[in-house]
Amino acid sequence: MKGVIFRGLESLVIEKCGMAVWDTLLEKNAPEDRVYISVQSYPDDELVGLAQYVAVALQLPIAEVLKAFGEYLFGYLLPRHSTIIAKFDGFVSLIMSIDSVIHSEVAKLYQEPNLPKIRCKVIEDGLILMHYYSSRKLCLCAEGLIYGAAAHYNMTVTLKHIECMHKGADECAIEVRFKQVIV
Amino acid sequence: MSKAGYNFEKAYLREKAAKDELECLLEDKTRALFNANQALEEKIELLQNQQAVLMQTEKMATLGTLSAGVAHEINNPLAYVTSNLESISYLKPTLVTLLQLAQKQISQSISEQEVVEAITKLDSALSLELILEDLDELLDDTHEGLKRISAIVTNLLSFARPKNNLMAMSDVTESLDSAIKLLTNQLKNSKVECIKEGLPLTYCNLSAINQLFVNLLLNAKYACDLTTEQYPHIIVKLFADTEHIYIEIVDNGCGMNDETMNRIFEPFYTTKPVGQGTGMGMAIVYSIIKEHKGDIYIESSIQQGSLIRCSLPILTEPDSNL
Repeated sequence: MKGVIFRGLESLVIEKCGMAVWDTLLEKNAPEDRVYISVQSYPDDELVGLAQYVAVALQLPIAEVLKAFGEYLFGYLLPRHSTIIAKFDGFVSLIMSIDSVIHSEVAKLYQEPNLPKIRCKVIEDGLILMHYYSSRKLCLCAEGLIYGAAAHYNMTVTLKHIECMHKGADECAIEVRFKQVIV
Repeated sequence: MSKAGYNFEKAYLREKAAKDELECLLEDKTRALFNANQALEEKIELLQNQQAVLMQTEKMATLGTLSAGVAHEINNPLAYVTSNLESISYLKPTLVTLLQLAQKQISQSISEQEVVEAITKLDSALSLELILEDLDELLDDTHEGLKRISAIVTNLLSFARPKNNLMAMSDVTESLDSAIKLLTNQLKNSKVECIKEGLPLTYCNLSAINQLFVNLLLNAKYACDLTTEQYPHIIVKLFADTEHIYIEIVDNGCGMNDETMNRIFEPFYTTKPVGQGTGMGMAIVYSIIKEHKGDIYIESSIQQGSLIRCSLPILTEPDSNL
């Protein structure tokens, strides 16, 4: 997993729980003197370990932590990659271009060989069916990112995980229902 | 929070901001580098395509210079094939009549006496013995003539067809033989001596090596044409050591001055009059040699001649870098 994701988690933990908690997390789940750098790769196990410990510290289920992290991560990445986000004219355009635009930009920066594969189809106005596959099975984190994107575009979104890799499916199928927030 | 703790966190946040900024800078540079690399790869692909087109264009230009000679080469066997077929057509009525007599004899619709009389009549009109003597020769010569035309056309096609990247374990000698055949007419007024050692097979593009030989031999011939002091003499040597195959072409032509030697591989540089040369011949020889990871060495003296030596590494297995 790329360091930029760890840095997002670091930022979240420090913001919500303070530096001491992050230091403790690192001591328990990472090699000594670990420093995360965005472009470097680190073992996936470290991220899972850190997320599990955050769940314990916050007394939340791991699924909730991953969702919350995904949502936070979108906001964390946004200012760093504003030029990429500027390519989309809205929520639908972003969701439909995850593989073709976002992941190709990620590949440019990080040479990441294990990017998730995402296919999206507009079923009807206000409904997209997303298929997610990743050997890391971080579909809950993907859900969080969708929530983050929806918040950025001022949308309300409801997600329904109709098939899940954690329940034996070959890939996850997520129904994304959305509508514009009327202010 | 204590004062010491507060300062520590402030320092951390400042360092974090610096780290973020550095990472952004690194990402911007990485993205720019990726885009530049992608543009470069596209340019390289474009250049490779253009080089392939250029090589084919040069081949076509060479074919233009060869066309008169090739036409003559085809015309010669064509003339005697045509003449032989005319002779066979002249014999045909006699042969047909003989076959018809044979049919009648089998069906017993004609007497033996009538058969003898008819054959005697045919023999007096056109000696049957002469037909027997000539027929084999006429057919053999016709067959040989058609084979010659077929070989010329095959050589011509093998030179003209674009066969980019057709690398295979091959004998370079085949390329030389094919080039010599293709240039038979061009080289007919020169003494061409081929000294060929048995060469090991090497992983190469025979079509490209064929083009290399044609270009080098045409240059040698052109250099010989520009001097009248001695009879044109071109020596082609093919030999090998344990690591390399050497192609050497020596001529006793006009030789090259320093400027020509220095610019010989420059694309579009030519010493030929306007309209007679593309200036791509030696540039393409160079690219073929480099494509095969080889080297080229040139020696030349004004009015004494030139020596071109190409060395190609013997490759026993496909080199992924080729």
